Amino acid sequence: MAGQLLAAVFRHGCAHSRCLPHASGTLQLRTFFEQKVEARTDTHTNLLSKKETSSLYKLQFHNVKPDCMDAYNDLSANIQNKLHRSPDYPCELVGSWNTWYGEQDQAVHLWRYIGGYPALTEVMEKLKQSKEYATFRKERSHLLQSRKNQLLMEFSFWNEPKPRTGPNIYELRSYQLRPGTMIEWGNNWARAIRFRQENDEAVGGFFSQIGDLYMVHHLWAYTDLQFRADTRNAAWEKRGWDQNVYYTVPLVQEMQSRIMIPRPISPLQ
Amino acid sequence: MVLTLSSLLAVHNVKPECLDDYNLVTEEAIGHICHSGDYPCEIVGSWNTWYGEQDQAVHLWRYVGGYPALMEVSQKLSKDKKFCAFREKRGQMLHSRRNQLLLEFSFWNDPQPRTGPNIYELRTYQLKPGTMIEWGNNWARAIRFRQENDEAVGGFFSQIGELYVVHHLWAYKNLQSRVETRASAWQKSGWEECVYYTVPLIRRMESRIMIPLSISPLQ
Repeated sequence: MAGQLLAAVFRHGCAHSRCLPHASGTLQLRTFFEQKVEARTDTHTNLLSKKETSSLYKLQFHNVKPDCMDAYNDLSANIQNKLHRSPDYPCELVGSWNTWYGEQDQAVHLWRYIGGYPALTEVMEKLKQSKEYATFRKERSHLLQSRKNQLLMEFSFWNEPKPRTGPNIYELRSYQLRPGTMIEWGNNWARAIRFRQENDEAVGGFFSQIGDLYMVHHLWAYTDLQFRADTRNAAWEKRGWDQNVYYTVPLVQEMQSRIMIPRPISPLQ
Repeated sequence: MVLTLSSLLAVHNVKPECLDDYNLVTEEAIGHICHSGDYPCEIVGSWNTWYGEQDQAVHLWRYVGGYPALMEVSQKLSKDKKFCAFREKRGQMLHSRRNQLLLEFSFWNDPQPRTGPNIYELRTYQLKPGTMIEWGNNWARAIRFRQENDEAVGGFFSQIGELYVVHHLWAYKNLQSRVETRASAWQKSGWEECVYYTVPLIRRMESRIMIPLSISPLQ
């Protein structure tokens, strides 16, 4: 049916607007698709991220079998440490956590690839040759239920995540945006980020390139949950914050928040 | 304008510890089906995901003769002892699986075998119901802006399974080449119009980067 419609449409063309009967009986012209979307002129990467640094980030979400969490943490710490410290691999571990509130029995890892996609490819090629890594992957596979990852760029108006001493809890707020709204999101948050610097809580802000698309992640650090509540409340005292919420919330389709505890090897403590 | 053959997209979520075994038995089964001459279907491409949902296998089949061919294959397979044994084995290696029956957009070329090595990107769009024609209209014009490096492999829309789903399949030498190829589209007048008119039609989109299995004609 759709196929035949498509064939017909290529011959006759298609209107962008439809006439719909108004309640009172008069005809009212309405555009079929009312969502406003920015007229873009370039890639999201060129418009939203810092060009000079060209760092690429990878977020890994590992759903660990609930009874295997300790074994998973022990096993993966060793390899992650090696990858992080070895000059042979142009990548660094930015942070590594276990979730505490939100999705549970989940490990979240954030990596930085220094040099972007070529660095990522280099790491992959080298790991393919590594017997140690192959053994690790096989062992790890028995401890996992499922996993997914995303490749991300950093928003230019957030600072690069730097190592922190703890103890902190981390909050990863993940937003599934309505397609077409990334620029608007970036514009609003570029202004609003300064209202969230009170307690140095802003760690990093990223947007997805591969994996779930139109996804944004904001990473925050707090000393504890009460401190988090107080810090977030304090933002509302600042003029301009309510505007940011007002303009950005309609751009969101779905959002979730994970509270995470850093693992011992995490540079973000 | 010819509406082309039915395609089938199968997505298998494999238990992480079973991925290697799954690949072995599945490649054998695919070879058996394609080389026997009995089945009016062919494998277009077969991959493991690399970025996106992981431990996932994606298979794209073409049925030569549309729905009647689909029924014929289904009936023959149910009587094929070798296939039934494979299915049982496979069942223990999977978390879940799903499939969709697709038609090809006429303005994309039929996917042809490729020599590698390439990485593949499957961009999947969940459209707002009612927007498929508009999507097709825009992409029929825009597809020519994405032929720079022969990256366009195939474009499909769903008929059975999740509906109002569109898949675009692309091939690139590597991830850096992908970034450069995609960025160069913005230099072409008309591309931004396509993005402007099609993005509001999308509810959700995802992208998987996939590596071909050795049996895949798309390498």
